[in-house]
Amino acid sequence: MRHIRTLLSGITLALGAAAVCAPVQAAELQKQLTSESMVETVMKRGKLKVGMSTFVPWAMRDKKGELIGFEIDVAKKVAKDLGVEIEFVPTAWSGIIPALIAGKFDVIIGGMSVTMKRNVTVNFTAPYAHSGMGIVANKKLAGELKWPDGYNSAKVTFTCRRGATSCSDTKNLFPKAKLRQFDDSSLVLQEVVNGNAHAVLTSFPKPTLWQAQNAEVLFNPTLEKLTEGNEGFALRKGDPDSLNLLSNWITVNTSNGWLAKRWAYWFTTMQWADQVNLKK
Amino acid sequence: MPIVKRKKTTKLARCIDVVVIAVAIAFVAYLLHQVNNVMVYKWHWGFLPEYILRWDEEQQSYAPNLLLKGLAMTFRLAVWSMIFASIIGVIMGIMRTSKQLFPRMVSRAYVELVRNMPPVVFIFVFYFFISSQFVPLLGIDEWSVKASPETLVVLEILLGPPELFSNVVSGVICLALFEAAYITEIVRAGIQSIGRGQFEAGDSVGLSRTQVLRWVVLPQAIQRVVPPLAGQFITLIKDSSIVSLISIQELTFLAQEVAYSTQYVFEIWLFVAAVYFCICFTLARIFAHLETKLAVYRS
Amino acid sequence: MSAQGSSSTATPIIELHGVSKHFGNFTALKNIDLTVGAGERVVVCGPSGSGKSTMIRCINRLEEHDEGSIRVNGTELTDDLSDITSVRREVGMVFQQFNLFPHLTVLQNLTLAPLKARKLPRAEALERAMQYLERVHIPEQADKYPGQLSGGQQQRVAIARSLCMQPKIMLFDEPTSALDPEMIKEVLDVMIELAEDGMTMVVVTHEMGFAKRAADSVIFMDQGEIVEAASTEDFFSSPRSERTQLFLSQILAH
Repeated sequence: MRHIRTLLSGITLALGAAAVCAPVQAAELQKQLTSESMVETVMKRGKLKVGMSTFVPWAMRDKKGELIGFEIDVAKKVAKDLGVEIEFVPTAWSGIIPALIAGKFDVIIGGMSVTMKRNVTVNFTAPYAHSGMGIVANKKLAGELKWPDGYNSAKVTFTCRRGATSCSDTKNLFPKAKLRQFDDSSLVLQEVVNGNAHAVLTSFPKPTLWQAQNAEVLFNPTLEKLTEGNEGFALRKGDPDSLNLLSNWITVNTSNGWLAKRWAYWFTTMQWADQVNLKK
Repeated sequence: MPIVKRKKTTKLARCIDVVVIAVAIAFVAYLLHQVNNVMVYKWHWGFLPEYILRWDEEQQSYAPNLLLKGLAMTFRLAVWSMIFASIIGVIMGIMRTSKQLFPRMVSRAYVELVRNMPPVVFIFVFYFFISSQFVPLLGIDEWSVKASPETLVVLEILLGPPELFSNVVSGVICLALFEAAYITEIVRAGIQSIGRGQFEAGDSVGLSRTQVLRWVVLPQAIQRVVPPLAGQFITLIKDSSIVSLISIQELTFLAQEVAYSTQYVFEIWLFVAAVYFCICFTLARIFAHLETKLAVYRS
Repeated sequence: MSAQGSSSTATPIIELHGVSKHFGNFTALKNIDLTVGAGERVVVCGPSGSGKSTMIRCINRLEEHDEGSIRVNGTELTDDLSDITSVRREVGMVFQQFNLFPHLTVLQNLTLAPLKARKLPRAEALERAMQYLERVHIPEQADKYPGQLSGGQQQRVAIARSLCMQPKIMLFDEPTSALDPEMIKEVLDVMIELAEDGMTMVVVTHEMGFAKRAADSVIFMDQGEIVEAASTEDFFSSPRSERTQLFLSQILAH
């Protein structure tokens, strides 16, 4: 009995100490990350660490196993302009914001859409790209449907990747239609190709790309941009200096047309398709 | 009379085997047929070899590409985690069977905490804690910067690319801690299956408790639990694919990147499945061999 | 009832005073007093459940006594671990189920404790092991595994294993009860040789032939108490208690 009592009091004391220390520790980490602006740390370190996720054509792996894509070009130019080296930290998309907050890298340059929900936890720069959503549909199932009203009916099924902005966009544009969500982006397309779903909303250039890859089965009801997206760099909160610097970099490279030129190369031409062995 | 009976049952058993195999093959053939016709999917395999081994123009030699690098990382994760999980598992297993209350409570708490969580949840919860609080304490990054070129080469074989050292170490710790809970229970069952007589014989011949455990009980216990241990190690290899969610660049993660980049999703995943199957199957055969070798000692 | 050996001038090497042991509500040992002198051979007999095994297992602390005191080779048996370990090094035990280590060869079984507990150099431990193997007449089995030996051979290896620690006392807990009849003799022969060499022995057994041949005194236990203790001659020729007489008549019926 005596032993148990000492044991229990020991454990309670230890837990209490841990409970007190944990928030202190977390606060310390936050303070550390924000006391010095990110740019200062990067300049001292001589290296910019960028978090991204593979997503055609923002960031992809080429035949040599190297990273290429729109994001990669943008990030490399940021590093070059700052005069530092670059290191890419490929991260699973679902954990990319927690990874940023935990300090695994300095900034997310990954085609991340600016949403209010995300803005609560991270800061966004001014937009450096505006991708829009387009639509691709199954010829057999949706060929007869009138665009766009025919698609807004309970008899029509859309697919989307869980957590992506295309889900909310589909719900907004076609509220009456059924929506099936998948964790795997390849399944999102495959369902439409197989004829289990009518159509899918996805960001350009995928609508044209997917249609070209499956020409017998798919078509584009329209080639218009259905939504206008804004993508920005994501940074940790409490760092006005870095936010200012990167936003201005974006402004400069928008005015001088560099961003537009690169965007056009990656999103409207398919000249890079051979480099990644892209499915034809 | 008995001899005739035995022949009959063997013949029947063989017939059943043939039927089962035939049904299995028919089922697989049906699946493939369905896939090809209903799924409207065009198979292309030609691009795969390049992602395993690529021809480097400058070096004029073959260099490993993403899939091979991912495989190497999976091996590293598997080996390191197996080693640490075994060490932690054996220690905790011994604590589980201790006569004193404290070791028993601690190990019981550990096992219950970990076993009642799905691996994904455990890894998400512990990874951020371990990688941001614990691993920086080890100071791996500062230390690897100061290391000599020769040490770095060795380290690169053992842990992978230098930038990812702390990342890999966190992954190994997470995976090892998770699997060790299961190994603890396996070891405990093994120890408890050893009759009291062995403990008493060891005690009465003058060996200390530690010596009895080390030389008499544990060798026998481990021998007995080789089958479930093998199963746990195979599970470990499959669970290692879960650490792709915390962006450890092992086979599943890099395969995903190639799949996204080339859009040849099914080919890549089938290939990856085949690779994991080969690894797990080889491990299972090694353990089966070990089991037969150890059975020699048993009476 | 108190028990004393026939050679009352020998220095007492095992002393039990007022020892009691309870398993929950069941009392296995009631107020046992026993003294065994150095070089004395004592046989303990009695019906099952009489507490004989419990008593000798208390002597090397495989069981903990609840009341009374036990002194072995001058050391008092308490909760102190170092005391217990030092007692166990001087007391060898042979079990009914042999309890050999199945994953080690016969030779390794014998050398394990001398190497680890006494820290003997390897050559010396091996020499000692072969010496005792010869003493139990099975030197050729040195590299076999216990599973490959017969019951009688295994028990002899068990005896040799205990002897390798060169104990002052040997305890036997029904050493032949698990053996086939044809193998009992070989084990008893070894025990008789041990007795003749002057080893202090406490043997729990039903083998009265052995008792008559090798024991100095016999103790009869029933229901946790020592009912009768006398020199071998007195015990068999003129048992005093009725219970003893009943037991003897049952066991010596054939």
